[in-house]
Amino acid sequence: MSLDEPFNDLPLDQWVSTAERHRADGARLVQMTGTARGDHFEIMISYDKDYRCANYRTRIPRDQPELPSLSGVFLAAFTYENELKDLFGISVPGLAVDYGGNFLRTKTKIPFSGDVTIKKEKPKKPSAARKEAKPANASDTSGPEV
Amino acid sequence: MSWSWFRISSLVTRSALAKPATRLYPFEKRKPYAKTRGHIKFKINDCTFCTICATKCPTDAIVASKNDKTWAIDHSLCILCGNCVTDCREGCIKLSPQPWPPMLTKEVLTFRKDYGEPPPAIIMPR
Amino acid sequence: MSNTTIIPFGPQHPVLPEPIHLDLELDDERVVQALPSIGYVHRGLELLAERHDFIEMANVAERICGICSFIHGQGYCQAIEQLMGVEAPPRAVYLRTVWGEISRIQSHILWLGLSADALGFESLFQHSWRIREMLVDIIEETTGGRVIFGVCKVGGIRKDVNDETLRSVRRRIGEIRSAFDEIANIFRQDATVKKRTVGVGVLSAEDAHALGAVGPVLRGSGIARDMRQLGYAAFGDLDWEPVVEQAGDCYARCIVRVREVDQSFDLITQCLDRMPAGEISVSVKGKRPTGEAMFRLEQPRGEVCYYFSANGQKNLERFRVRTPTFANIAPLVHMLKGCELADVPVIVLTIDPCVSCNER
Repeated sequence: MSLDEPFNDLPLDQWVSTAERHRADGARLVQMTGTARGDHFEIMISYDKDYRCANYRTRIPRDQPELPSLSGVFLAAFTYENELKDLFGISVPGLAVDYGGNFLRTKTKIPFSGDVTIKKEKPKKPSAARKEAKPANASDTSGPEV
Repeated sequence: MSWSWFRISSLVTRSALAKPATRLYPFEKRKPYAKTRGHIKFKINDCTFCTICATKCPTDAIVASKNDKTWAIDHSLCILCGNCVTDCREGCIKLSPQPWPPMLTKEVLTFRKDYGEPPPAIIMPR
Repeated sequence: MSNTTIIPFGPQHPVLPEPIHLDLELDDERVVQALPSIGYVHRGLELLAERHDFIEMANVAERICGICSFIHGQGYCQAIEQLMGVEAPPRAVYLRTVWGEISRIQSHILWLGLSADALGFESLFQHSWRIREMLVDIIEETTGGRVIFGVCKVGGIRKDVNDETLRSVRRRIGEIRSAFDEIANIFRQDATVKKRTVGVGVLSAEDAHALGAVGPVLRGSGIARDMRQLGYAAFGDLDWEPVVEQAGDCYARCIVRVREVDQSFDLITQCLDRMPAGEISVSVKGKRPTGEAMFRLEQPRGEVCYYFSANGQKNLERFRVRTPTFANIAPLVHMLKGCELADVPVIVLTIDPCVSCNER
């Protein structure tokens, strides 16, 4: 596995040219993903050749999230880019197959952009649970006989 | 392309003559394996209400209270990871191999020290 | 004048147990273009890393998929162990490998059954699942769960398996293997299977590589790429070669899976022969994962990628899974172009779509 395969920082304007270079080398697109950080989005991409992964990372600002599409270079990128669009709200001009934000139907739009956080719910107190219960049904439940 | 019907027809003929591979389920039940994670069994007698099991429970299926001396488990939330069983210092939580029967409603089993036995079963309203 | 019809296929379809929708543009009975859409069951599992600490997340990782549940758990635990600089004891590593291969076999036999069902070969479907049931019994006996194994934890495994059980597993694996050989020959030779699959949905090696196909889809097109070659778990010590078929059609993908089942039986026997004794887990108390990395594993459906970003806190900063079906969507679209409408279910099934694990 791949602790020895670090992520190289890449300026946004070399995004497409790096993909073209890897395509010419005979590499394949492994995955593409994003992370929401405080003031920017990080987009990670990995190319693989002979079991070696080359990982790159670029930053795009939050106020104008725009990523040039790679689907002209690697057609397979369209699934990842639609995912980025739906989960992070990044606009991807030049997308080969554009679902217009309907690739993944989520309850909250762009849930991964950092607005949605999952808080740990406080468990209900058992005494409260007892009060809510209907005493008439108390004998309905029986565990398995063991 | 030659017809290669012989293999499947011999298999089908054999299985038509043999006993069924399945069990008549509600009447005939297989004995669960010793390791089968069936359900969590709790004995109130030794419990000191340290609430370690409730803290370790990844889905918060167990709710224990020190003051009320109660211990409750929601079998619809329990994922049978066994954390409570390994972390219980008194050994009053056990993993039973008998699977929990299908539930029609959300069931929370609450145990209370004062009552001793038998534990009252409570059904949460939906 | 274009005279095409668009018909919807799925999300509810008799051969598809899972919700994938395809808009098929048809010229007469021939597919001109297919547009897949998924996302009916998005679960937001990746965000749960915010709520659960990294040890509890192993339970969540295992529930990404119902069929490759163990391999997801294994991948997660291996990755966290590497990020913490902990090494699982050899017995744990070997037992993980055995369980991973058993779950690969049961996944492939499940798929073979489903594909027989898609071809309309019901008795073969039932016989495949009869054999799968024997494997599920082994899983239940050794781990305690039938679908969710729940034995993998960060630092090792939860429960040891005693040597007597391992010997009985070895004996039963032999029995299952001879039972499987019988149906494997039907998949290899039966005219019904061949009529529906030979020459259907051809994906050439160049296209498979360019479109980023993974797993049996890629190996059915003649490219020997199997992430187990990275040598994670015990695969570096074992003696095996990736299975390759050259034709690139549905039949080749089916045969790849049949042969991989055979190979996995071999790998399990090898592991059981070399099973080291000793501890099954190491303590990870007080250790926290730090750094970021991408990890890859081979699942029954193909390569899975995990991206981890951790900053030494209790919770991971980002946990991302790229499941194999996600990578196989683009090859699927390519394969569907130009096929007959009646072959669409068969072709969709040969990528072994696990749509729900697509939507973490």
